[in-house]
Amino acid sequence: MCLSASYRLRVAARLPRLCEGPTIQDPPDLHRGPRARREVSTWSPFEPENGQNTQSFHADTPFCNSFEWRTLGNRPSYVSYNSVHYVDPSGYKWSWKKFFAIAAAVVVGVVTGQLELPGIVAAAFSAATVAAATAEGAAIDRLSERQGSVSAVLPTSSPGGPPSSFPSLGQTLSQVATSVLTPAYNTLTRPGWNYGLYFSELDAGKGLLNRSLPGALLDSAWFASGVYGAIELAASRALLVSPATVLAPSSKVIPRQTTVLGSRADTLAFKGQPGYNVLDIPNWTLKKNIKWLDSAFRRGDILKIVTDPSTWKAANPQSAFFQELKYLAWRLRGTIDYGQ
Amino acid sequence: MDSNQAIPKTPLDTVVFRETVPVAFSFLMAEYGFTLAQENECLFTARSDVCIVRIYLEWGDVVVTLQPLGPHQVEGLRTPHRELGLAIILARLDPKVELPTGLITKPEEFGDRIHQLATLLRTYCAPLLKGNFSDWPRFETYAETIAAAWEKEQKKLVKDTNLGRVRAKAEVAFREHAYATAINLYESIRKHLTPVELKKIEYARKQLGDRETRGRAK
Repeated sequence: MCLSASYRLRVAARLPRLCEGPTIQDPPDLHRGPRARREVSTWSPFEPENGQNTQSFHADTPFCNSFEWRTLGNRPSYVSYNSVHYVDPSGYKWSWKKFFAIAAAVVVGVVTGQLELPGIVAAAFSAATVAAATAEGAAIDRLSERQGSVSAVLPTSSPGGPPSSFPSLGQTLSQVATSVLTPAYNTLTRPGWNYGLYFSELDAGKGLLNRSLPGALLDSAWFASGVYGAIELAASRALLVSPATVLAPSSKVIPRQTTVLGSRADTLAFKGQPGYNVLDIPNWTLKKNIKWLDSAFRRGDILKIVTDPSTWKAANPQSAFFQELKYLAWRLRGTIDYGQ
Repeated sequence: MDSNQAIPKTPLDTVVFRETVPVAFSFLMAEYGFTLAQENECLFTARSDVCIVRIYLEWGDVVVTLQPLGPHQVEGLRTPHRELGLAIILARLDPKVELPTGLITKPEEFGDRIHQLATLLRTYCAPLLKGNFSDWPRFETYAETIAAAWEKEQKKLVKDTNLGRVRAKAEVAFREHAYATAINLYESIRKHLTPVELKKIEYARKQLGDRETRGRAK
């Protein structure tokens, strides 16, 4: 059916604009001549005059210039980049072909170790990998310098699946908290200068936990009252596996490391050691320093504090190390109890 | 030598540090009999029978510290002796002394900073370098005060951020009519609640009570 140009214009005028901001029409591309104005006022996936595909440049479709438009990429992808033969005016056509292609890519990625699935998904999907890593103790060793807290959080582990202290999502939060996590939390929150280690361990598991546990659990009072941190730690112990176990050598994913914080002289001992990330910035500035710390957070690094802050405060009250600690406290907000 | 072989670059600030410290602190060897040694690329140690002077290269700064060595007949002096920074010592010795402040970002500025600190050490710390530690307990007390203040500030920061986080969650729960969750969250920070938030708890409790009554009626 061929619709008249005036009808198409009227329809286009009634279509809702999903986002504010500049569009192709404003300011009008007058310098491009009449052809450009015709493009924005008529809809056709195919420009008959010169055979050029102009589908992705039309402005009068419902989600032109909207957020979806920009994030989903080219609309011709919905018609397999063949808009000459296929028409998908809405752009929402379901493609089984595309779905299976993505699913196959994910499966291949996980099997070959190229892709690391987060949290519970990883535990369920590759239970054998997790069990092996837990049994060897390699994952735990890499994740913590403090074996005492590890044993408190994960008293036993079964060889056929995830550790039994954090067995399934079906176990109620109160059971977990009273049986396992409260003593673990008490162990973790003892005072001392090296509390930074707790921050780091908690934060390492935070991202995974947030993705893997239902929001209802995260919103419960237990999390707010301090057990939150311990649960995160338990999850990180149970669900994180060492990078060497999961990632193939050819993987481009940057593995987790141990980021070393402290005075410059103290951190030198870890410089160049495999698995350790030590600040080494030419033309150092505080801004660069914080960016470096941010990258450690993005990787989910373990943070190892090698200088006693209270001692170092007496030696160098204005050290950049204290700026780092201040940033840590701000960044890791919510993962530590603030006491009574 | 293979031209393709990568030569590891030495950071310029460590080069300046290595070359300047022996020159700037040569008075320690000449006047007080210290022996200077470089422990690593960021630390020089000058040692005598009575004390150790350490010169650290920090990120954006140079730090000079003193630490008494051996037994000293000073009342209130604790063992093991604590390492104190020049900033702490000078703040107690003479509060009018202006210490070089600000973080250094250019490597060439490290040289000036090292010379400034050496001059301050030579001018104000002569008794300490000779082994007179009668003022040392005073310095230690001051250092402890500063450390305690820092810890307090850090705890306050953590506390404030945690409170804000719990508040935000409680607020969301309240708005979504998840009154049980809101009550639990608010109760966990009850000591810090505002009058408005206390009223919200009361309201939430009332709503929960109404729901239970309605449930029984059905």
